[in-house]
Amino acid sequence: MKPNLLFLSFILFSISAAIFLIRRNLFIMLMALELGLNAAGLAAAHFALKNSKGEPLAWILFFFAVAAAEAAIGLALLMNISKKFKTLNADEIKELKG
Amino acid sequence: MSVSGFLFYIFSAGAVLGSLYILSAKNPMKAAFSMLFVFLCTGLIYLTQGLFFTAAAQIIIYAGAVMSLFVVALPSMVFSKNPEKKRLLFSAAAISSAVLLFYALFPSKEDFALVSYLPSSHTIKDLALVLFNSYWLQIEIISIILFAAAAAAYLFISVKKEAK
Repeated sequence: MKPNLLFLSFILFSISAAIFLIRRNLFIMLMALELGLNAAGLAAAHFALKNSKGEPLAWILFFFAVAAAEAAIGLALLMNISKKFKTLNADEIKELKG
Repeated sequence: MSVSGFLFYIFSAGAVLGSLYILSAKNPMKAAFSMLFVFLCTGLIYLTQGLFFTAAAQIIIYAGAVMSLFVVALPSMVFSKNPEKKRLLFSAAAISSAVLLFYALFPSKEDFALVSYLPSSHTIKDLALVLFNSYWLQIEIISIILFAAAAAAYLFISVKKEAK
């Protein structure tokens, strides 16, 4: 049987969108964003293999860099939020104060 | 079915099941390890398609660096003991958007058909030529973004320490 990376990336991206919409835990929502970027990388690999061009592989490396930057900033923000509000439940964080 | 095709389906099933577990996991640490499993499966999927450098980068950067950051940062966070509210409306929205996205991505049966990929002939040299010729500006921008992210993360933590 032949594989289809685009279809797999669609399934993983849909699941990541579902996690982001359904779950209220900010830590798990950040993980859903990472999962979405991972799925986008799979779609880029599909186009790299289908057209035999190297450019989509370069995009995957950019996705990796963006994911690493996002994880660093996201986790630092979440650590501050959890210290301030003593929770990471998005429904319980209602204050916006500078 | 070839061995790589069989392995592709095994690792794809692992990635999908692992991400479905994140959706239902109550313990964030278990969800983080499930995420690590998904990233490892994705790296192995790249490996089955002959994308060796991408597979190595996936395992080192995603499964190694990013997930260790998640697992190390997790114990220092405070989680609420109240259970999350059920969000049936958002569940319905998620399912309907997935269906819409499916029809947008695969309008005909031909798009849905399984693809016979060309054998991967990409070498690291080809990738380096692409990165440092066509994408040199993007590489510079990405390096600045990574540096800014590291500085910002340090700043977020250090501001809190000074406030104490």
